[in-house]
Amino acid sequence: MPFDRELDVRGLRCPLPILRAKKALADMSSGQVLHILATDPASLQDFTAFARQTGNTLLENRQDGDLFEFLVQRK
Amino acid sequence: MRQQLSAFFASRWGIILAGVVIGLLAALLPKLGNPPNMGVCVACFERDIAGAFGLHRAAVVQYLRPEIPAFVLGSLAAALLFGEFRARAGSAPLVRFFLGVFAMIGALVFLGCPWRAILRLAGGDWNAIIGIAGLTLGVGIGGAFIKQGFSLGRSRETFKIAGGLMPALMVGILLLALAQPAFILISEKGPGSLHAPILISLAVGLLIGFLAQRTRFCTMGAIRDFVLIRDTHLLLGLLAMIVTAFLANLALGQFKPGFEAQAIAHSSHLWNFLGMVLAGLCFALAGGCPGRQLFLTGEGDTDSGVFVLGMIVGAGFAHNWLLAAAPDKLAEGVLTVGGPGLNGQVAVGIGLVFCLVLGFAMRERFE
Repeated sequence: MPFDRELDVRGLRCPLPILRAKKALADMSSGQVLHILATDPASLQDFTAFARQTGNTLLENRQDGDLFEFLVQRK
Repeated sequence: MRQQLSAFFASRWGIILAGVVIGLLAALLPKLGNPPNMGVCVACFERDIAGAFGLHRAAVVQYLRPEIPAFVLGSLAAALLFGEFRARAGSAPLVRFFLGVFAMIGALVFLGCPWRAILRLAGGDWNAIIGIAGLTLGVGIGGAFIKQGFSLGRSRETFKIAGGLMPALMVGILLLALAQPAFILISEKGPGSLHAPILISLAVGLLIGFLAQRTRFCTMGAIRDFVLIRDTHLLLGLLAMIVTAFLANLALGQFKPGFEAQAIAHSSHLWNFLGMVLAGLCFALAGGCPGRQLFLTGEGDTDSGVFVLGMIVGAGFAHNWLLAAAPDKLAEGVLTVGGPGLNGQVAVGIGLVFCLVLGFAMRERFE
């Protein structure tokens, strides 16, 4: 799936991935998609809650070994 | 089955269950022999371990507490069972060591970590309200730094054997606790002489470690996540722990409301507050309360292991250099208010300056 911007938060722990995603999305336009790369095991739980709370859409999440990938669309 | 369990532990009911279990067991342990309002206190128990190793000379707080290694090993078991053991390293270990040292000094000026603050509150020790207010301010300041870009940097994957080093050390501590060789010191009086049967402490610690690893239970994280992103998930666990411990204390006759002459506590309000500001700030900058640091250690996070070692070394300095507070004393109806001496007050000041300098200096620019 295409995306507009990529955010690499591999090696960072909660809550830094969420805070950086929040900041990145704030600089994007409505409808644009952010691709996030993370390794924190709690990422899936955190980004699901983050999308629910902020109204942004979690379009896709994938796990490949230790790597988590998320596509979040700005509301 | 494993996926269903994972989903449950990640849910609101999962974190509430963790809070209920921790609150209940922490209230029960004093009934079984642990010190009053100290069913589980990570800082106090690490201080006791430091004493048992002879790292400090305070004869009343020396005992190899099995709960601490059991927390790590319970977390290790959960991480292995659910495929979450990941050996990692390299996120500012030396800075984390010093944060651990100052976190312990702050906690010993208050006389307890966030876990004990909650248990003291649930036991009617109103001084804990002041400590928790300080903790909230400290975490809030740390959260503000994090929001401004403070970071200890990225960790990276390392050799599995490195991630297993701290759990191996904890197995060693447990074996020494069971064998009790002559070179391990044990208090004959005071809090260090009060302890539940070793196998019960071990079982409680393993269960708490397992549950906390699965649910990410963290007392500091509860406050931080609410302050930073208005997320109440971890806060539910914290509230469940307070309510359960309070009800259990009521049922067990352990609820004794008041400010003065509380068990192993002092009513020097300013230093209860400032001690916990320092501890909260250190925990926030290091990314987890002392319990969470132990659980992360069990998951293979060697940086958290360095923080734990910093706390143990900090306990040595805190007692050798008379930085830790003295509890209130009540003798023949006369109350002597405790608190830290000048050394402890200066140490808190140095710790706060250290954290503020870090908070301003270690800010990353990121897009």
